[in-house]
Amino acid sequence: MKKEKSIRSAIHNAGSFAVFVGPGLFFFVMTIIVPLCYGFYLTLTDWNGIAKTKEFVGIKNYLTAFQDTKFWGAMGLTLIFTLISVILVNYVAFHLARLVTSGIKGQNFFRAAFFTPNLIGGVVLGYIWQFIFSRALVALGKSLEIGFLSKSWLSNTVPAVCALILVTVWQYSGYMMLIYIAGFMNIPKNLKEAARIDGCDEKQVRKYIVTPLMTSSFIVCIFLSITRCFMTYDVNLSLTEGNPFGSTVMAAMFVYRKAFSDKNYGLGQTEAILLFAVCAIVSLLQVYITKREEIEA
Amino acid sequence: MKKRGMSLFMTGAVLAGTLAGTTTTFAEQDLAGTKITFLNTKVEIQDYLEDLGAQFKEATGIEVEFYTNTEENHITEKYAAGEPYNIMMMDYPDVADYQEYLYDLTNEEWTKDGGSQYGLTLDEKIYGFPFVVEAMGLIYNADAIEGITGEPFNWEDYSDLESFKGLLATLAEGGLEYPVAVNKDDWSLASHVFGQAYCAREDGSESASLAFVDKLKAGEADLANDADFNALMDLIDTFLEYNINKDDPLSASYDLNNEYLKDGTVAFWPNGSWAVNVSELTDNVGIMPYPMDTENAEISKNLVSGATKMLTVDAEYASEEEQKAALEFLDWLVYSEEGQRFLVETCGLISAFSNNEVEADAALSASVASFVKEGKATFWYQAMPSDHNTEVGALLQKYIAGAVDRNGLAEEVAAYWNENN
Amino acid sequence: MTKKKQRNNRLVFGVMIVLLLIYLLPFAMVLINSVKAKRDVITNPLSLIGEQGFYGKNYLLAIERMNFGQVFFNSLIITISSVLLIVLFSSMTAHFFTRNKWKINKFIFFLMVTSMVIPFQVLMIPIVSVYGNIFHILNSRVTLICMHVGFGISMGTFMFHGAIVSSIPLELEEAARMDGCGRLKTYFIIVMPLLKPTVVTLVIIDALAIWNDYLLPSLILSKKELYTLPIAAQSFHGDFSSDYGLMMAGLVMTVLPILILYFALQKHIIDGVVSGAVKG
Repeated sequence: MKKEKSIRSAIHNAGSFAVFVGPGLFFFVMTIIVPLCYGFYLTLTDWNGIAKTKEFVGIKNYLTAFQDTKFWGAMGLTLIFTLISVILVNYVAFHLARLVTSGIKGQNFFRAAFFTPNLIGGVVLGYIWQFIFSRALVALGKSLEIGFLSKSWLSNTVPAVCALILVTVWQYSGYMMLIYIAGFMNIPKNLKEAARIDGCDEKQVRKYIVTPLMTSSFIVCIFLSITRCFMTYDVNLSLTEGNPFGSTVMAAMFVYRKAFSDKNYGLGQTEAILLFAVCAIVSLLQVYITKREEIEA
Repeated sequence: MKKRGMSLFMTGAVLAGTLAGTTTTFAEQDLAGTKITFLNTKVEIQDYLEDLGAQFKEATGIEVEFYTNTEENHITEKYAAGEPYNIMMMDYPDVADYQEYLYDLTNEEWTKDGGSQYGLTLDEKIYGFPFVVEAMGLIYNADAIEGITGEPFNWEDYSDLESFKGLLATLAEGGLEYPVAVNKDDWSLASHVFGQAYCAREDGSESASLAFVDKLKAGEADLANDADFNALMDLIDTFLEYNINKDDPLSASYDLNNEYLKDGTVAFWPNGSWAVNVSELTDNVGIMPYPMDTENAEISKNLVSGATKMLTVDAEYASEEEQKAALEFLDWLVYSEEGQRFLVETCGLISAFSNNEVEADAALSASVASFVKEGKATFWYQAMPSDHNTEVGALLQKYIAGAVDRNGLAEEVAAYWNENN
Repeated sequence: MTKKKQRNNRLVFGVMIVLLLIYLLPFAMVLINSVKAKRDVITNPLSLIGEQGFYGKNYLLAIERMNFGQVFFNSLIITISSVLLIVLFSSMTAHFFTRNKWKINKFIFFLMVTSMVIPFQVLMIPIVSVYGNIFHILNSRVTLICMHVGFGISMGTFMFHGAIVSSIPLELEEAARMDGCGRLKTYFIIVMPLLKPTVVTLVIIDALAIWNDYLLPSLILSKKELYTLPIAAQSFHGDFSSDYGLMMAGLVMTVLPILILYFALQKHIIDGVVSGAVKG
């Protein structure tokens, strides 16, 4: 009897799995896992991306990649960029979300306005910000005699990286703001009321009720911002194009160039996988640590 | 008069074709209804191409679908997906990468009318149909110059460095303080400005250029002491001295430089003849060879030119009909009246084919055409490795920003070529 | 309201306005430059009207060149189908994972979260090689929708996972089950409504991403009739230089629908959840 019951429940479980998880899993595996395996196989060849034949070379690409100082230089730059950007993006996004859910006048309009940076991308984004940094701000700096604005930020490495960070924060804060807004909305009103009745002031309500319950949002946002900043390519390409003299080429742009511009697909793909590995370790560590703080409802 | 000549020629060609039994007939019945795809990387002429396609369909029944995409690895992606276009417009350096997939065009009719001279040959077979001839040099706005000098501008008077410098000084005193616009883009600096180093030297021939590049690859070229290299760098230094973007050369904008030349804010722009819309405001523009003091003074009288965009035909994934239809289209471009008028008259570009008698209207193209017709052309070396533009371009950027001096530049460029053989 | 609070409010409002201007400036620039001729865009992007006057024909040209009607329709069906399927499948998957802490679930969840880190470039060529060269199923909107879904499942599952853990108490579902609801019914009647804020947020995020996506559709769709808006808008991008006025007109027309969607959905991120539904 017990065996029948457990077989029946096993089938029931399998059935539920198939219904609930099946479809999503199927598309996920076909779209990502299968090509990933083939992509990994390609790193073991010396393919140039075009030729009919691919020669198997084993781990040669990986050895080359580990010794590629330019690649690791780009990775280092990306790490610094990511660290600063993630902190700034989330700080700004969190406070923006708080402001637009605090009930001030016209907050719907504000929400939409902060969201618009996400709508512009590619060449247009680069063109506008290049104009702002190289022409508008320079003109402003020259007329008001502000030193650090008088020369285009994009002409020197450090200011150029700052420009990248600025545009990234501008773009992603509106995006993360959305997620924080949803997080704020998910906090049961009655919990906050109860705390206030118990004598907490606003600061304490924020500290002991709101912030802990926002942990899920933090996890998602920090994860998304780490991964996106690590993989920055669009803004890199359209804003600085790697200039000045290739010193602002970040990891994603580097591997793309290696695979396609330099026609060294095998090596480029290998470095892309290494990029993935580094980013994965960092972000998964973050998720693992912060998930433990997640509070169950 | 010209038109009569054209139709006589056409009749002659058709007759000759039928008599000789070649495959240049214009209405192959069994190809009617075939659809072929064409990748166009010159966005500006997309509309004109579609009109041309309509004319071609009327003449032959073959339908050509024109696609436009300038992404760097678009063709790579298409081959990876097994769906390349039937005809692809490729840049000169890219054809070699796809060689094994491409149709061997050596036996096509048009090879004898300029195809073999301007087309792209690999392993003694022709794989590239030369779509357009372009030139790189110094674009000038004669109005801006004449406005200050008061006399008609004749570039030949300024084809050596000393006279050129004198002219720039005159312009500067006359109000055009910075009469040159220098680009900052790596691809522009590497292939169009610095690119002169590989071919505008010695006797300007293909063999001289290739020999020089071989020396670079072998690490045997002493750039720093090379007279022609220094002649080019002297000129570049002059450009930089009178650069309108002088206080921040790396913040220049290609489009803004274009506008500067158009409206006469600058008089000179080192670039190439593809910048066709510089003549929107005045027709008094042209292109001249770099006024360098090279060992061979003739270099400054000949314009670096060659075919830049090649049309290639896919032979790997296209059906036999599609391939035949594609070849039809290529023939039609060269031998039909509409095809000949298309490139020169409609698009304002220059044809590589000697049988094309149509005169170029557009100011810049007319300027180039005069050089090409008189044979005053220097070979244009275009077969740099694919990372040349980013690597050497970055070095040039360092140079114009003052972060590396001439000897440093020579060293690093030589090192680049030595590693890239 | 106390004077101090009034002052604080005004200060906050002032800061918001400044931020607003910074955030909106680029978009405003796109708008004003979309009705200028190319020359004016290049020489003076900040002027309200270009020297060559109001260039409304950028929009007409863009509509014609982009084959706007057909392309808009393609974008619409692809985005709607993909977003609906992503929300449905990923929320179900996330729900199952949170309620059944099996080893295999944890493993798949781990795979999904990790996959969000994969740079698209790693998969670019392999995807077209496998599905083009081997399976020949490219050039179809259905294939594209399936791929969008495949790419979107991971983030959807990730977001729903967090939302379910923190805002859907298990007791609620157990109560429903005790009342006789099956698993699916419980899911659709009890759980989904409570996930509204997350659903709406995910819809906005995914709709935006899919609507504006250029790379994946450009790889999958080769025929002009199947193009989506971003691919069509890319046709203005030239080798050395582009007609910026035209490009911006194309961009404005591409993003307008998403902006409208955003405004429409804002009202649905409602205030307050589960007030007093859980007793004891």
